Amino acid sequence: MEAMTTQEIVHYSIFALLALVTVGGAIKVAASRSMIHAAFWLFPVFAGVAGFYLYLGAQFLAAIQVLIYIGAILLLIVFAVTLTRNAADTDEAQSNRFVIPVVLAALLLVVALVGAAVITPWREAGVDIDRLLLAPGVPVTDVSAVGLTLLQQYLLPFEIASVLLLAAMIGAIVLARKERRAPDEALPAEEIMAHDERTEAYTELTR
Amino acid sequence: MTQQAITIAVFLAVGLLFWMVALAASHLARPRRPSATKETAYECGIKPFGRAWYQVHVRYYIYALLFVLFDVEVAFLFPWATIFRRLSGFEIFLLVDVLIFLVVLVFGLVYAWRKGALEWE
Repeated sequence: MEAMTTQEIVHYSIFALLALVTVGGAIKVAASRSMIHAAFWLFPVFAGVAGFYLYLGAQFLAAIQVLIYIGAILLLIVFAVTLTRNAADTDEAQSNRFVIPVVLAALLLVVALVGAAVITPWREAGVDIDRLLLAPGVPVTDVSAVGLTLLQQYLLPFEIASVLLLAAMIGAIVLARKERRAPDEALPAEEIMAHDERTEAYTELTR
Repeated sequence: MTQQAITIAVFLAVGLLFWMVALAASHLARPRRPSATKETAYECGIKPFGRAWYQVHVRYYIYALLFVLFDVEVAFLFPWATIFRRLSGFEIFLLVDVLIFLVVLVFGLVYAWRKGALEWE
């Protein structure tokens, strides 16, 4: 076995560190008994993936990963968890009723990921990758590379993405409007109680 | 790459050392006289009451969702903006492309506005 160069050692240790953070976080997400803990453990997973993008030289994707996955989607998931009644409760028995479909779905995902990794024509390091681009001379790691492929090769998906976002927006509003009721029954009973409690406590304090 | 990795490692180490040293120094230097008042959770000066965990209202979720949507929209604009001036002769097409993208989303914003989804009732 050849001795590894310093550069190789550095590369492997970066990769190992990122993999440890990502996979360790993912295991904690699946293993946490509290939903809110599981949600917060997504942070190292998303951050680790951002680290991988950075490691691969895709700075733009890394920035977008932080901006969207950590900044927005993680926030959305945490909000969704706090919407549920017992976010912090850990005493509920976790159901294993769906173990077979879940394992099947996970296996399908593994097949899809491995398949994608095998089918994708990866360029070897050092090979001229200008052919990948529609405008030669722009390095693929550049944001412009994303822009060029997005607006030339994948223009239709780009425009359809806006329709998808619109559909999500309208869906969210329709769901929210369900919550709005006539003024006299505007608040669910529980919330009125909570509200009264708070008002009472506040008046007590300010008295 | 190795150079960059070393730079990042140094930043990481200094970042970790900074809070460790700061917290350790504060732990050693501060006087410790706990009292019941000091140990209550800080709630902007109001006495805390009830459980910290309760079901929050769905409107927070709606705001977060709208934020995600516009976040994604803006993310799509970055790659567009970087190539806009590079492709001479195609500016009109690029402008129309992105305008279609934005108009569809502005329609969503107008819809949200008209339906009162942006109001904090």
